[in-house]
Amino acid sequence: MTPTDPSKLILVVEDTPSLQTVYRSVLAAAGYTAVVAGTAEDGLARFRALAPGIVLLDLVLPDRDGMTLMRDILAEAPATCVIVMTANSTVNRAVEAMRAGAHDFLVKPFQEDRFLQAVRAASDDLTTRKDSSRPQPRRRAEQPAERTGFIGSSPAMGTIHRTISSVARSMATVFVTGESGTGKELAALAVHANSGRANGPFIALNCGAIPPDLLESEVFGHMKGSFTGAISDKPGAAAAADGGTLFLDEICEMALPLQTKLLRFLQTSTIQPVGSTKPRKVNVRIVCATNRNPMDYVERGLFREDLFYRLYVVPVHMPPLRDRGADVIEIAEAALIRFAAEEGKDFAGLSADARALLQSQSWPGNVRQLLNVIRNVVVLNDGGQVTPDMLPPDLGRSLRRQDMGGSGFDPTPQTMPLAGMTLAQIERQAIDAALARHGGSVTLAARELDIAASTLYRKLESWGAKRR
Amino acid sequence: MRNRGVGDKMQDEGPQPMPSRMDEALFSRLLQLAGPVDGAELLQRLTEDLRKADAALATAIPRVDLPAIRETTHVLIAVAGAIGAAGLAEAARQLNSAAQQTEASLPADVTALVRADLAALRKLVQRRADEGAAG
Repeated sequence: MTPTDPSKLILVVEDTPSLQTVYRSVLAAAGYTAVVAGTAEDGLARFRALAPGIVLLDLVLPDRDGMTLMRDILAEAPATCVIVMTANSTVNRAVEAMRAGAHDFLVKPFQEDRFLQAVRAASDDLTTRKDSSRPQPRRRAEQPAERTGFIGSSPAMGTIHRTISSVARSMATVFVTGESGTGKELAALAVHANSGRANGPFIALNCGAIPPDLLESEVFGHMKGSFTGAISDKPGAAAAADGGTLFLDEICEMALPLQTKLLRFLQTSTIQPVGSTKPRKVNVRIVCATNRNPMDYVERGLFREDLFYRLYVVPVHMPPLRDRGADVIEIAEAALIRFAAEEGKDFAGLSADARALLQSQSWPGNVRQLLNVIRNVVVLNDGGQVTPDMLPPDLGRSLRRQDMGGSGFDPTPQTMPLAGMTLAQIERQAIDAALARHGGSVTLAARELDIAASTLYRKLESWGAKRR
Repeated sequence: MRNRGVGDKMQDEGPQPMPSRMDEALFSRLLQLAGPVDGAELLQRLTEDLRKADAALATAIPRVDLPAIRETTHVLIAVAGAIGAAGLAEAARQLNSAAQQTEASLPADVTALVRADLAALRKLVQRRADEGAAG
C-alpha cells in the first residue's frame, strides 16, 4: 500500500477525540491509512490536500452540519465514497445522506465488523472503478437520470428520475414498491445502469416464483451432493452478482428462515453455499421490490423487522399509471412506434378520441396493461391513425366489470376497481382517495378512515410517499 | 457478561464497581489493536471525554437542561458503546430519548444509572491507564 492509493487512504471526520483514536487504530490494523480531522473546516482542508478516496464522516460536527460537508466533498470529487456515521436518534438523517449520495452509513456505537465491512466495500468499489478505467464514474446527484429507461415526464416520474440519480452511485439498498405492472424491475435496472457497477452483472431473482425449499440454493448456491438432485456445484445468485447488483423481486414472499440468512448475508457480505463449510466474501449491492405493503408483512410477523430496516434504506415507490397523467399517452405513442416497427407496419399516431379514451381509463394493470392494449392494436390492424374503434372493444367494459367485482354490486363507483387487486392495493387506493378528498390532510383523512393519524403517517412513510 | 479481569493492584484495593454489561474483552481488544502508544493515547482521551461528559451531566441534569443532556448522551452512546460498555450506552440512549421530549421529566432511575455507570467506567479506564503506566 502507498499513501497515494486513494482506496486505502481514509479521512476520518469525527470530533470526539477517543473515537478518533478508536477508528484510526482499527483502520491501521486493517491496513488502511487514516487521517483524522475534528471539525468540518479541518476536514475539508485535509480532503483538499490529500484527496482520499474514502471519507468517514460524523454527521454531527461542532462547526458545521456534516451533511453540508458531504455535499461539498461530493461536489469537488464526485467519485469519493463518503460513509456517514450517526447515532440512532439521527438515523433519518443517515437515510437523507444516502439519498444525497453517501456510499454507506454506520449507526453508532461503533461495531468493528460492520465498520470494516463498510470501508472494505467502499475500497473495493473504488478499485473496481479504477480497473474499469472510467474517468468520471460518479455523477452529481442533481443530474437527471440518463439511463432510467422510463417513458413519461409527469411530476411523479420526475421524482423517480431524481431519486434514482441520487441513490444509484451509493451502496445504499433500494427498496422498490408499487403495484404490479408499474415498472419495479425497470427501476432496479435503472439503479444498476446508473451506478458504478453498471459494467458488473445484474442478477434478478423472483423470490415468489421459486419453491421455498429451493430458494436458499438459488440465492446462496450449493455444493455437489449437498442434497438430492445437487449433481454439481452451483453458484447462487449472490455469487453471480459479485461486483454488481442483486435484484430480489417479491421479497415479501421470502420464507422467514431464509430471511434470517439474508440478514446475515447483508451484515457480513459473506455467503456460504448449501453443503459448503467455507464462507466466501462477495461485493453485492441489493435492490429489492414488492407489490405488497412491506410494513403490513412486518406487523403480521411475516417479515423480519430487522431485515426490513436493513433493506428499506432508500424507498422508491413506483406510481400507478392512473396517477401519471399524460404519461399514458406518451407511453402509448412510444409503444405504438416500437411495436409497429417490430411488426413491419406503419401507424400514424393516436387520434384525439383514442387519446381521450386511453386517458380516461384507470389501468389497474398499469403500464403492462397499456402495452398489451397497444400490442393488440398493432397486431390486429394494418396501420393508419389509431381510432377508438381500433382499441380492444372490451377495454372500457372490462374495466367496468372489474369495477363491479363481477357481482353487479358496485360499492363505490369510479374510485374502487377491486377485482384482481390485493388487499394492500385496495387499502392504498382507499387512503389515496381519502387524502384527495381532504386536500392532502392526513389528520382529516385519518379521521374519515377511523384510524390514528400516526398509523396513516406510518403507512405513507412505508410507501415512500412524502408527508402531506 | 461481567468480566472483572482487573490487575492485581486493583484487587488489593478490594472489589471495584463495574459498569453494567461491560464487555472487557472488547475493550482489551481495542487496546491491543491500538498498540502501546495509541493505546495509551486512547486511555488518555477516554479519560478526558468521560470526565467532560460526567461534568456536563452533573450540571445539566439538576437544571433539566435538555439540549445539554442530548448533546452529552449523544457522545456517551457512541463512546461507551464503542469500548464495550453496553449498559451505559443503552442507559444513555434512554436518557437521550427522554431529553428529546420537550415536556420530559427525566426518569430518575435512568439518570441515576447513567451517572453510576459513567463513574464506574471512568474508574475502569483509570485502572487500565494505571496498569499501562505501571508496565
